[in-house]
Amino acid sequence: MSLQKDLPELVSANIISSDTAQQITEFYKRKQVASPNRQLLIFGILGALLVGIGIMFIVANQWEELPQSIQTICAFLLILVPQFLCGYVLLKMPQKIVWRESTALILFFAVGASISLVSQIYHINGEMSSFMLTWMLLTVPLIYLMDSSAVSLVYLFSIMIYCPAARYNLSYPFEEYVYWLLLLIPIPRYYLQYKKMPENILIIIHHWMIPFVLTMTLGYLSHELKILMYPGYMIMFGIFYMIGNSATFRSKILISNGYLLFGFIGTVILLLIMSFKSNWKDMAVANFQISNLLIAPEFIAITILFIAACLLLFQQVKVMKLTKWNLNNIVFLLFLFIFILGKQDVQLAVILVNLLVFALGILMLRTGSKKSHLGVINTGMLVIALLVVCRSFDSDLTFVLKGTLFVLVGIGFFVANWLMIKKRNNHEV
Amino acid sequence: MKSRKLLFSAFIVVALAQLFVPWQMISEQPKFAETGVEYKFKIDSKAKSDNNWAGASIRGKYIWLKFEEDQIKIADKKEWENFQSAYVLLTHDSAGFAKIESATKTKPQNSIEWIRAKTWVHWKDTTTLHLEYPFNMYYFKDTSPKEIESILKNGLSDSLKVNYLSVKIRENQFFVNDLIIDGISFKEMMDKVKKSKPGK
Repeated sequence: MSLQKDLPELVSANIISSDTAQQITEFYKRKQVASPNRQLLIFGILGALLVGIGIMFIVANQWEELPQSIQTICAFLLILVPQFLCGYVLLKMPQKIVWRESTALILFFAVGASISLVSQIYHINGEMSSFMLTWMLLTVPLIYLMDSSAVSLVYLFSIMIYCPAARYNLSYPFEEYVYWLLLLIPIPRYYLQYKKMPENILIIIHHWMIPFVLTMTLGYLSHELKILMYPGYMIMFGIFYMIGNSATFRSKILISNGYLLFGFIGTVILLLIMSFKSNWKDMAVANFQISNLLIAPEFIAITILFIAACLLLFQQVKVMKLTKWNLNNIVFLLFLFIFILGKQDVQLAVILVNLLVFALGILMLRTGSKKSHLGVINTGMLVIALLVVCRSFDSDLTFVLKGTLFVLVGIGFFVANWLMIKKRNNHEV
Repeated sequence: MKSRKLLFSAFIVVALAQLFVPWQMISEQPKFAETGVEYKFKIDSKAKSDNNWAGASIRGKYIWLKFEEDQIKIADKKEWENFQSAYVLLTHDSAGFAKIESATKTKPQNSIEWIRAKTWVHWKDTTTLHLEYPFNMYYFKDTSPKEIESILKNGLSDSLKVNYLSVKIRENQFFVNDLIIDGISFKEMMDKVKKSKPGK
């Protein structure tokens, strides 16, 4: 906006032409028209959430005083009113995003609240997982019917809660896999919306929600072969990184690129975890016989993830220049190699993982230095510093050695930053 | 226009399904009330709770109850973990109180008299499986907790008095009838307290 104020001055100083000034003014006008919609959308959704919670509090306060029949009517009205609103919006004003999103969101919560209320009124004792599953199945069509990104987001978050409930429901051993089917339902719409409106705030939140939900739930596939979840997670983080580093996402600001951050941070944390020898102890007892592997959910998950990762990698090889590549793109492949090696020699695998983390840090320093980017340099230094901290927990290193390592990393931080600032100053001069 | 109509029709179908589920839950209740089996769960007057009364304590608007029949001996300690769910098959003892027949990991096939309970095993005694029933929190309507406190203290600390919770059970569904303290209904006691209060 400050640029708009400066426009007359810029024109009079012959820095820009009056035509350019006119174009800039029109650009900001267009932007202004679009931005209140975004604000309205966010506040509309927040308002819908608050209204829903508020009604529940008011009802809860006087609830026990009401006779059972009134309680039941209330439980049904709780669904009927938002249903009517949704129906009205769908018929009369389907183009109004704020109305569509807020009414659909209220209905989403109303269905869950109504089932809970009926259970409470009639003392119906049920499983957490069956309640969640019923709620999700009854509300997931709203994502498509109401074309609602807000419902898609809360749905994704809710199925994340459903996942452990289903995993530990011993009555139905296969229910845990239902979660993965539920997860697939909103993805096509998310993809289409992303293609249509990549700058939509709710779609940007999806870029965070999806990797977050997957990170929180992949581990529930772990059964007998727990150790296989390490490569499983590593491949998944590799996929996130590749999506975040793809041509469409790379140009985005970091805050809009949840995949890249989840991919990178997840990879580093997992490598640091595997840099401890103690975390490889299950490797010795794991039964990796083919007959055992083929029925292991961990192995099936790895296979699917691996195929997806290879397809993404192949696609990136085709379109991306070699200069755009970095080690992060293939960390999952290197880790997989180290992991297989670890079955034969854990010690060697641990050394290689440590070297991999170190290489990641060094390469980031190099990239940061090339781009004169302090953020990248310091992230690289941070990776190395974390590696040093992790090694300081190893009891077989002497205190002198641990201390020296810390001092060296500390000096490294100072020197790297000092050199970078000096380089920048020289450029400016 | 045609697609909008189609969309609206689909929405109507979904809306009906959303209403059908709670309706079905309610419609199954009479069947449950007819066929549910009544069980009397004796309150453990020896157990110490948070507030140091025997067998019960107030938590908000709930009374936490500790039952005598809430544990079973197990042979294989590795079989059970904490916070698992167990299917508790129930029966009646000679005095007519609830008794655990067995606790299994799979749903009982030949009986309707079972309830699911959360498990925990104490690290010192791994041969006993402790069970937490879903009805161990008894809800009381708007009454001063102080009066309830005195009723519970007087009623539950005397081990000679028979105190129990009456619950109807059928295939994991339950309906809490009443809390009986020394032969008197807790609901009736509360009504008396309410009536005796000025302005009530």
